[in-house]
Amino acid sequence: MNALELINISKSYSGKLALKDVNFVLEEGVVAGLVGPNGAGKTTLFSTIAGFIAPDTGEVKIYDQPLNSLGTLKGLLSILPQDARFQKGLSIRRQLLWYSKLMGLEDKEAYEETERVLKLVDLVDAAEKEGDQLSHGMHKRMAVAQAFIANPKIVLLDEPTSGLDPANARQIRNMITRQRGRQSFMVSSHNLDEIADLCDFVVILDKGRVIESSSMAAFVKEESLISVSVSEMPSKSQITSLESMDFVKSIKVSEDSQRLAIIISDGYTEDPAILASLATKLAEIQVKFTGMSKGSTLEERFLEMTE
Amino acid sequence: MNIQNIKGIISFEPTRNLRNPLIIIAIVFILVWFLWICLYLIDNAETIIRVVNQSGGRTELFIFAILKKVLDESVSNLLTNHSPLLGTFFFFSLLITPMFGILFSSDQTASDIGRKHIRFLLPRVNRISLYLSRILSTWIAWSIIVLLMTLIVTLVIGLSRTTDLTGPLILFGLRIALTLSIYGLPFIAMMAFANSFTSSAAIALLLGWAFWIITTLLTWIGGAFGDEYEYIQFIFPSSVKYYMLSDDITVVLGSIGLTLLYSLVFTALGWLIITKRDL
Repeated sequence: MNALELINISKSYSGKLALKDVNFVLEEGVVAGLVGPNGAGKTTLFSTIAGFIAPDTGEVKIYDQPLNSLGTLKGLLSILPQDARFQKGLSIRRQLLWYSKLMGLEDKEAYEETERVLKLVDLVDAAEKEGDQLSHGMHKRMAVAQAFIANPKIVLLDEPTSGLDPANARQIRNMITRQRGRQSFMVSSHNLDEIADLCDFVVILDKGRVIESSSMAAFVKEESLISVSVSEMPSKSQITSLESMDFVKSIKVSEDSQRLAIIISDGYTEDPAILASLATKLAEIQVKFTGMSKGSTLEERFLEMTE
Repeated sequence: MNIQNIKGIISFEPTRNLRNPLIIIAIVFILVWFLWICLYLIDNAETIIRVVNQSGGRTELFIFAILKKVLDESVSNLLTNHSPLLGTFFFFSLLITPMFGILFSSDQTASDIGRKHIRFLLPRVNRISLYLSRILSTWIAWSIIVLLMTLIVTLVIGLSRTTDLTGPLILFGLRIALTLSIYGLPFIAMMAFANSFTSSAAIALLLGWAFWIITTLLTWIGGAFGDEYEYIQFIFPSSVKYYMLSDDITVVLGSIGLTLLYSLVFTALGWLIITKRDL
């Protein structure tokens, strides 16, 4: 079932294009990564999905219902906005309690839910502080906590781990991983390793356009590519020798000459023996390699597409 | 629009308001004003009553008596047909309501928009529920304040002149409280409108006061050229205040109708903006 569907979304500010004909579908229970260079339109896209800004054209559908026709997003969608701040003069606990009540929870349930999300981000002790008294990292975790109140079906997280130390970033990733399959997530981040680890699906946005949306496995060509890290650039004859192998369709050498991308012929993509065969061949023709893995990294694919 | 959401927002408003510097300043000003007018009326009670009795209400006791309208028949009737002290309080309170109403309601959605805190709220409550809840809760808070203050002033005036604390005086006090409550509504709606297109409560406040001052000046300037220019005053809701002083129920009902019309127009204008603008 489609949790979220974007149909031909376009948005511009004072004539400057922010989003152009954005289309994609987020299936229920999937964790999708939204990646793109700075200024690609990721935050605008999140804001459009959450209804903060209206698209110039196109439509957002949540569980097949047009966003405009939904009286409220309550229980359906929550968001970690990138730049929102908590209200002044009020403790975070009080504000989270209020948000819980706005989700329709009764007093006791709302209190329990508030404490639950505070524990999720390990900030029970800081909950009596006001938003402006929190460090950047704590504020970010509190903002993440509010997005998890009452477990809405779709959670949009705009750079949830930026500015967090590694331990806290991992904590946020674990929160998402635990809910995989129960909630649908859309996560933006510049940490592409994080996106690759976390997400089943990836959407690449560049200059306001979706230039790729596919499963993570398909995007990094897990089945059809072997990356070989080399410490020394192989000679032409070595490359030719590798190309002569049955399962090798073609070979590309990276610009820095540190990596060979070996494209596998269609009939061999699921052959478990090809990695061993390749390693044997590399040793035989004396190519100095330091490692090999199936597929590209997300970063490589991302740079390939956006540069 | 969702009633449960509206209740959820309104129930949190006392907590929010009592931590909002602008609203605290407004409450302090209102309390100081009520205290001052109370003391002024007690100190000058004998003089006010004597002058009103001698002149039939056409008094020039007050600073504002320089205004032509102070000598209006409805003001005269107000002072002669009711307690002159409470009548004076009523008149002054109506004059000052735009200033306090604008100040008190200057931060309905503006700071939420400015801090983008509204982005935490919108997935839980829709724009219309939030917008209307803030108007309603501000009006409820305004009404509670003017009701309490008017009752206190009524009691103080009545008790300071023991013979005056009668049923008619209390009823007149209730009428004043009700009138001030209703008269505050268009200013609250006007500020909701101002809040809908700004992201700063301070800017909304300045816009509200500027609108009031400019309309008043235009009315005065227009009045100097001829009576027909006095209609300029109807751009601003304070134009109904003199009709609210009348003892003629049809005039009062008409003024209430006009007040509600102003409120509806401002609310609708703000509604149009808040539902369309990027937040």
